[in-house]
Amino acid sequence: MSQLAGQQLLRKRAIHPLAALRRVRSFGLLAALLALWQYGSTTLLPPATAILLPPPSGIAIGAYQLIVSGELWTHLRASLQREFVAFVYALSAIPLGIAMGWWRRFNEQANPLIEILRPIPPLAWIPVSILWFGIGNAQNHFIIFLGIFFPLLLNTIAGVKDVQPSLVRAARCLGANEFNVLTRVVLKAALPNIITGIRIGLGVGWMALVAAEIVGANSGLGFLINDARTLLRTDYVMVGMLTIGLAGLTIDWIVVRVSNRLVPWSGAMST
Amino acid sequence: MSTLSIQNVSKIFPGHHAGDEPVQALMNNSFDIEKDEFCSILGHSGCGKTTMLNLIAGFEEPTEGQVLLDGQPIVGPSWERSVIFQDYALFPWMSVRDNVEFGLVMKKVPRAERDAIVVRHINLVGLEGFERRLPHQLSGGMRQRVAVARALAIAPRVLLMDEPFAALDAQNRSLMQREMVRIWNTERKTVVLVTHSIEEAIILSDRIIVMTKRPGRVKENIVMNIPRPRDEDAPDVIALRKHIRSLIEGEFDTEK
Repeated sequence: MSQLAGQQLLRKRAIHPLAALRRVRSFGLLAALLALWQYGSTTLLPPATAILLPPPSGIAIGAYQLIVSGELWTHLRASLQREFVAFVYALSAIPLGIAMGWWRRFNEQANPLIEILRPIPPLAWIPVSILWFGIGNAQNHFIIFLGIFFPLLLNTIAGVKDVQPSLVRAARCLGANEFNVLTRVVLKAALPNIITGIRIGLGVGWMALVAAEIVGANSGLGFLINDARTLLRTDYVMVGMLTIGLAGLTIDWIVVRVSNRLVPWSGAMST
Repeated sequence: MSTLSIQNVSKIFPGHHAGDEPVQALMNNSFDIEKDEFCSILGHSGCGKTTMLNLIAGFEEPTEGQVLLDGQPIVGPSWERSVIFQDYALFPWMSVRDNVEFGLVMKKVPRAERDAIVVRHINLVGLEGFERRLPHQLSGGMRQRVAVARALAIAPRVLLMDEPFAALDAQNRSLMQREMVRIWNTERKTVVLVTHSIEEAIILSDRIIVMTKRPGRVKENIVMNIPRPRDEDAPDVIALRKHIRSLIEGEFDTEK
């Protein structure tokens, strides 16, 4: 027993360093490029040009300054709040999508409208939204809302249309009325698609958010990078860009984790 | 007294697309199923037997004729006629327990009563200890048991089964067939079983309705007098199987 455990330990030890090495090796190119960048920015480029491409060390210092001053956090929070508020509004796509997927007559009327609005990129709404809402949160929310709303709507409709007909029939012959069929069966059965819609929507919304903040906000990560540009603080611009990327990645990661909890049956249930 | 009465029932489906020929699935069918009778509807795939079941369930309406339950025409699905589906149709997000309880919640049965009924039916199908599992964590045979418990828990007057054992392997199938007899002996009710298996129909039924190919018609209405349990090798069972096979195969030949 102990011998077996010892063998297993040995085998683990034998494999572990190799795997770790492979891990480290995969960062080789990245490290080399960073080193090249560092060298180039500090010694090759003339100082006036180096301002436009600060070295990685300069970006790290910029990040440190923004974090210590609390500025980065303030802007990040402003952006996350906008994304969240817009997301709450965009949840209206779920009941609308269920209605469109369920009632053919309703779909017949709503679909042409949706099909006309859907291909207009959220960014194309920025000018008219500034005219309507001015600069500030309302305009931002509107643009982000559009980014989240349509992917969520389309995925919800697809989810409802994909519901196994026998589930609906089973619910009916077990005595469920129309309301119960919709809330207890159709909504649940469409949930995996709805969550996919949320995931895509939050991604599109995050992209739209940055654009909306660049042109129409006094706070947020989009504002931060544009504001830093006017001050020629390229290091802050890059810190802002990296933060936008990392925050987007984190949002996506959270949605995936939550969805695994929420729909454990998804994918596992084939029959 | 007859509970379920099929009277001159025909069903014609319009083509899926404009210009498609309409399909006559059932043509002028009449038969009665007695109270607490186990009736099998037997035929090739495409003979309209599932359509017949859907008409009794109320999922579809006959083009002509009517289906009566205790003299009342059937209008839409109801818990009085619960269905066990070929693909089980369990709600994948609900535990075994919640699946069995679903119909009772819909029926607004008080909680305490509900609990007792759920426990009794989970025990009846032998799934004690699996109450918290989700359907995808169960084997095919166990899912089928959940479907049986769920359909019986609401105390339907008629139990409808659409090829319920077709998706199971041979061993599980014969096990579930015996289980079905045991359960039916515990909870007597009118059962309509749709199947393409002659053996299954013979083992389980009081009455076998043999159907022709499309358009589906009743070829023979066989009342079973052989006592249960039925031995597959008993002479009268073999004779009956031969007879039914010739009915169905004769049908097959005329098709060609």
